[in-house]
Amino acid sequence: MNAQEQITKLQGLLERIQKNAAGPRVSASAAAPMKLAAPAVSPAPPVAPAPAFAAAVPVPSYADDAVDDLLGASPEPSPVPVEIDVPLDSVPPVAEIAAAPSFAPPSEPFALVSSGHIDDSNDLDEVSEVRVTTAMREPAVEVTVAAIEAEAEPMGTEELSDDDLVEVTEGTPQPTDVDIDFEDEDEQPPASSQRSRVASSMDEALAAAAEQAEAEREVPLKTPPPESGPQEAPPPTGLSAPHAPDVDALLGGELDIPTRADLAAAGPTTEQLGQTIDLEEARGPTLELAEHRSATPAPSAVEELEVALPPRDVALGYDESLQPPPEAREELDAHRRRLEDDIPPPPESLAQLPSVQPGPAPAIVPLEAAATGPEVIARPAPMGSPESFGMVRDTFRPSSFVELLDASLALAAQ
Amino acid sequence: MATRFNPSGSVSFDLVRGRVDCGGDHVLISADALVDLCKAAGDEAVSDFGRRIGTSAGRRIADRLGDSANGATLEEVLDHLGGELAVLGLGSLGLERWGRALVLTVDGGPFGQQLDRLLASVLEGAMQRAFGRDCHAVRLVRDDRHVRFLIANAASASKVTEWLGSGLSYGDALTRLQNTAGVA
Repeated sequence: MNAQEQITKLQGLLERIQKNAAGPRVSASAAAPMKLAAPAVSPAPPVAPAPAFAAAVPVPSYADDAVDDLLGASPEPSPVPVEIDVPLDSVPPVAEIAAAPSFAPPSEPFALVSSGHIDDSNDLDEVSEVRVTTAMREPAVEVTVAAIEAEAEPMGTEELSDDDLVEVTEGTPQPTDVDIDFEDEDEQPPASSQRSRVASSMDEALAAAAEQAEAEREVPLKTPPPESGPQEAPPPTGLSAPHAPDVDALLGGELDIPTRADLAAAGPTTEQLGQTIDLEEARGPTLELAEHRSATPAPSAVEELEVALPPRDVALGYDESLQPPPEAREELDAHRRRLEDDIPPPPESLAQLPSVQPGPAPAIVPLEAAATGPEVIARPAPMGSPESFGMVRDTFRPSSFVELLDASLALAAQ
Repeated sequence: MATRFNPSGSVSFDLVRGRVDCGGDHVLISADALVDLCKAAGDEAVSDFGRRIGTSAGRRIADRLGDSANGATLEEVLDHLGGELAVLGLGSLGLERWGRALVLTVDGGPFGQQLDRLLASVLEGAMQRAFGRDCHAVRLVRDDRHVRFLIANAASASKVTEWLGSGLSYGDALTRLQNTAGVA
């Protein structure tokens, strides 16, 4: 058996493995009640992990068939049995048992899920869903894990990993053989390559070297950008370059630096004068600036909007019918009465007294009135009957506040 | 002779405990908030509130004046009572004597033209507590900053209020009150 045949067999085998991927679930779900029911009988150790569980499951009878027989079967996959996914809660335990003839019905009611005895980390997912196979599977087609392992043993477990198997069974398209004739293509450097071709002869090499030297000698013409701004002029080279100053000569002799006085005495040089034209003096009368005379403002004319008031001597008076404003009438009447009757001054009005003594570091902001002195409140204008006030003032002089308070409270209005 | 009013230590701020002591625990609140509160409370509640404030001020005045309270001059009483009102921030107190009538003035109060009832109640409470006289303060006239209160008994206060309500000027009201004096 060559490698191609082995690959073909393995492909067929893996296809069946993929199709029967639900097979172990049937076994696990069918075996679960038995395993789960076991703790009820005796305190068995916790459920083993999945791989151990798969090995511990009683393998059906067709699992004992030789792998060669399996491989020799029809490469066509067996008809896929109709599988119905039934939720665990909706399936009565009896139907589950009846649909699994390979297992003996348990003697006790099923306890498909027993959270009290199952370790959640083990096969809880496996028993959460039960698949019931309504059609019998062909025994020869069923492949168990043991059969797969037995089939895979000749190939070596290291050579055929799970990832590789998945890649094959997923129908990855086979790489098509594409004949590429590399000989038809000339070995040419890519466009980006700077590799020069090797000269075939000495003449060609000399010519290429000459061309290269000529190309290097040509300086690309670069013009400054139109708006590049002022640029520093390159120093002149060649014959126009200035000579370097002779430092030794300068340091050896005394420097003769002309001063401003020397320059002024010497006058302008011929180069500076150039073609100077002497201007003749101005002819004509001599102009002198006159003294500034303070301009007297001319009498401004009376504007149209201004109206001159009539002089006092004009026999005009104010209208007799003019009345004072109503709010000032009372005060005006009182003023006239006071002038006519020559009454004594209005009632006393005590000015505010300084209410703050200069104390050391007061806890509150001192009053402004305390700092500046008493605030004098203007005496109110009398508006009442002056006779009565004058008469009272002559006879009543309170010596204390309580006396005045009592007198005020004693005033009884009728 | 009574001592002058000395505001030193009248108000102490305990910032650690967050307390203001002005002869008892006090609270610094804004005048606007107090105006709103008094407007909502009604005249009777405002009068009681003001009398309570004035009673506290009158007690402090009586404590300072001591036995000389009855013999204190106008200037001394004005000094102490005005000082108390100034510490409370209720304005500058003045005193006028119109014949036998006692007129107290408050200048620059914090409430503007509002809550004159509160100021009158404060004066009433202070007079009652400091000198033991039941009196009534009748607002005679006020302008933007200045307000005058007549200190009189209940009957006179009521009559003067009636006169003022009838359109009589406060000067005329005082004159009429003086003309009827001596009858009581």
